Amino acid sequence: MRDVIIIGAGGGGPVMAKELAERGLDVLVLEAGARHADPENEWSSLENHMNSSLTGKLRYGPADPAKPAWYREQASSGSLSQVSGVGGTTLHYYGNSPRAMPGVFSGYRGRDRSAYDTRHLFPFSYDEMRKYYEWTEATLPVQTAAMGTKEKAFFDGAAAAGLSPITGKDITHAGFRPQENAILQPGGNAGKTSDSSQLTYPNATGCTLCGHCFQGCMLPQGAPRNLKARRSTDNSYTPMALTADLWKPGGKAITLITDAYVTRIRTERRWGRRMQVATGVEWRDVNTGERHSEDAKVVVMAGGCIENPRLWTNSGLPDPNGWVGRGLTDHALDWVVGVFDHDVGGARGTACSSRADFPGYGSIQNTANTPGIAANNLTNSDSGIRGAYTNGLGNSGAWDGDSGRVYGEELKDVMSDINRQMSILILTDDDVERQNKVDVSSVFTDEQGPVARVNIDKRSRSLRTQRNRNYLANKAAEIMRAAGATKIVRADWAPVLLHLQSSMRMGDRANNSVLDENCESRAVEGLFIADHSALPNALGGPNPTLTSQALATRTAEKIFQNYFGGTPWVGIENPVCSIDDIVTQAVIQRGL
Amino acid sequence: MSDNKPSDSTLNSGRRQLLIGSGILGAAAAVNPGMVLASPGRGRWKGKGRGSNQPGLEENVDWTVDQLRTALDALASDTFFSIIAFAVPGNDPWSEYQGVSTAMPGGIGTRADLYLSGGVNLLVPLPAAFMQELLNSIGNYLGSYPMDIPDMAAEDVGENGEWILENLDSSLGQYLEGTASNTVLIALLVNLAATRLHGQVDGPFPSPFANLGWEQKAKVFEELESQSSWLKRAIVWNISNRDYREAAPGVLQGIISFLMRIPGFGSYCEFAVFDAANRTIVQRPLGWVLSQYRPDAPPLPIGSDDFIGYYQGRRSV
Repeated sequence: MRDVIIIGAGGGGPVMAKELAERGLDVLVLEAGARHADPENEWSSLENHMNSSLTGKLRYGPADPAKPAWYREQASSGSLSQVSGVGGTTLHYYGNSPRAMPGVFSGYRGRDRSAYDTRHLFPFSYDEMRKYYEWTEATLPVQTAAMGTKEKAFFDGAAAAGLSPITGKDITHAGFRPQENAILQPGGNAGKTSDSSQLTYPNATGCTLCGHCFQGCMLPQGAPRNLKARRSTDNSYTPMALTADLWKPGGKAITLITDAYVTRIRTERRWGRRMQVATGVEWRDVNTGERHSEDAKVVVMAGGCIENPRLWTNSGLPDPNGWVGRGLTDHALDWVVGVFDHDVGGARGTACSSRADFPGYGSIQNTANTPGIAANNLTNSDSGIRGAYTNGLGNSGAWDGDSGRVYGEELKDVMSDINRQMSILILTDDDVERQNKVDVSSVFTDEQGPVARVNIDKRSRSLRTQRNRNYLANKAAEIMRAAGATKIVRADWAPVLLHLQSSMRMGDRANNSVLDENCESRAVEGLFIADHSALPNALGGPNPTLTSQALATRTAEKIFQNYFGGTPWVGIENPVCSIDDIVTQAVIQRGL
Repeated sequence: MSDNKPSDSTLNSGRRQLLIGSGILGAAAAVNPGMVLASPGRGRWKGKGRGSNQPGLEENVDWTVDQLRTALDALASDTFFSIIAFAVPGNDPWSEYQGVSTAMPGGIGTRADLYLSGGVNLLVPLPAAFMQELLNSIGNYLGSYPMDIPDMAAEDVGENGEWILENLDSSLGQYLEGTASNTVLIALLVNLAATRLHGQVDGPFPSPFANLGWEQKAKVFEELESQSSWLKRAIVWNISNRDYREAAPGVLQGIISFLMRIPGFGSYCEFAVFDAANRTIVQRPLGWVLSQYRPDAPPLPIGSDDFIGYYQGRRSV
């Protein structure tokens, strides 16, 4: 019997794994997707090769590219942008690691306290969370991002639009700032040359400003795995978890099995206990079809907002208050693009190093895009085609014309010089709403059972969500106008399911949450969740990964205390950084 | 219109509408003109199969599933060309015919049509029974709410048009029981939407959608995306399987959304020039030329010199 089995090696599972391995527990991590053990010889920086949701290396599907991606049914329009494999969706994230808005935590007393989703707050305070943020930020590590052409253009525009800089990690007021990124900043020749011969490790360290975060980070070339620039969990927490015995006295390396799709969580009723108790899991080898089973004292789900409800339902676990899979938030993402008559670095430099935050509304961030993704983002809309039809929407605002797809001649015109584009992603502080949910399909089944069905109806979102989204799109347009944009278009995206949160939410009330204040299931003892689905809300708009990772760290501490008689460590010990020499030596010694 | 079919036809009116309006009949005639007997016609479908004067062929007309598959694939190909030309026009025949073209190549030049059709096939693992129920439901809907297709429209392809139509219906049933592709299903739906909105349209292409002007194509997608689209009503008109009935609108919406978004990605990514063995590109992708991305590539650089410094000199907060 294992101490802990963790289902999923995405953004949250490896955090839990590393923290518990460091405490010496026997941890098994099961990941359905690929190992991605040798990116320099498996990946490229090409967007279809890497990012196609159907055939790309970074898709939600099995490691074998000849096999189709794993299908999820969608009951409403939208596209899914998730990744399986070790690293999960952090494999294509931009490393953006802001903290959540303080206003989404219990006990917040700011004057804007009524501006948030007040019915679905964190069940503990921001002050309590801060130490877990600090621990996680030090482990990854999180660093202030460097500035390139597009960041300078964004900052100049934001200042000209009347915003002031935010100079701390906590979001205290509306303003702009360089991103706090889980990316090692440029060192040596990095950022100073495009001559590839000068950009191998150790002549270059950290981010080389290649602009390919979305295609997966495998640079600098030749760097040990834990010294790759971006701190996706395949580069940070997973190498630490796999070597915990080498860099931590008393630590125990985890066991990682990939291509292992968990199909059932086993439970039993024990005499004298009111609730079911998790006892282990069953999984299927996606290559051979063989079925396996293993017991554990504690089971942790970390398969994400879509797979967790599916596994829960397919396992026949109880859902006494009907909230399993419900309350899904997605930041109601949107896209605003400005066209300039001069170079604003639209496809150069880092993927995303500047942002602005608006407490009570959400956040916006400036991104660099490769051409296919830029065109993809301009042609996704719920508002029809600009100049042709609006599909009943077609918002007007500080942008030019109605919102909608950029299509036909206009698309070719906007795309005619990608470096004259400035693209801003809208991250809405959206409400937890019961009707936005994940359950299982009645029609589609794969080898693992009925597939997940996702329903997030953009047109039925709360008035606050819609207001916030429009507010942020206007702010983005105002910044670009102040920066000198000659034309601004708003896409009004159909849902892009990239920032998914809260489908198995924690909460302070038993009648609207799946998890208690420790992220333990209210219905099944010994069953925890350690990913975005455990988040109680949309965090006020900031990108969710850092907060999920900090929360997973807190949950690991609770598990260690409540099930293994341990004592807490966050705020007491000093964290070991994932790029510490002792970790690097361990990674090299183990041949990772 | 109460019953839009010749009085001696064994085919119900909804199926007739489906086979004609979706472009199946026109495509079949275009792919296999030898099976079509000349008729005076009314001037439609020119160049798409009319003209055979071989006597006695009428008795031999018997469409095999393979022949139908060839026709459907041709129809789908034509439809996808015209969708790409609509999204990312260029200097190709489909762009020129729609009245919106550009001096430089567009999505067709990058073979985004192949990218899109390949993607549609992988997007949803549609069960064959689901596909059959969808088309049957549409056929039944069209029986009650027919399109503006003349009674004798089948004869536009030739004297034996009505006979061909009945054979096609039989072959289509068999085709759908086998491995029908999503691409074909979607092409049929797009063309049905085009015919429903604009009636029968003259033009050089087998696909009714391809024969539309750019603004007319926009109207078709407006209809397809609409919350109150007739097609969304038609696909659930009388699907007997409750699970299929519930799933159908979301599945259709997802495919249409994909159909409108992916031409952009397919046109500007490296798909057409990717060297899989070496994980690189054999030449600079056309989409990169069109967008002035990476003017010096290949080779692909592994970094840039875009570093300016740190905002206000702050390295940390």
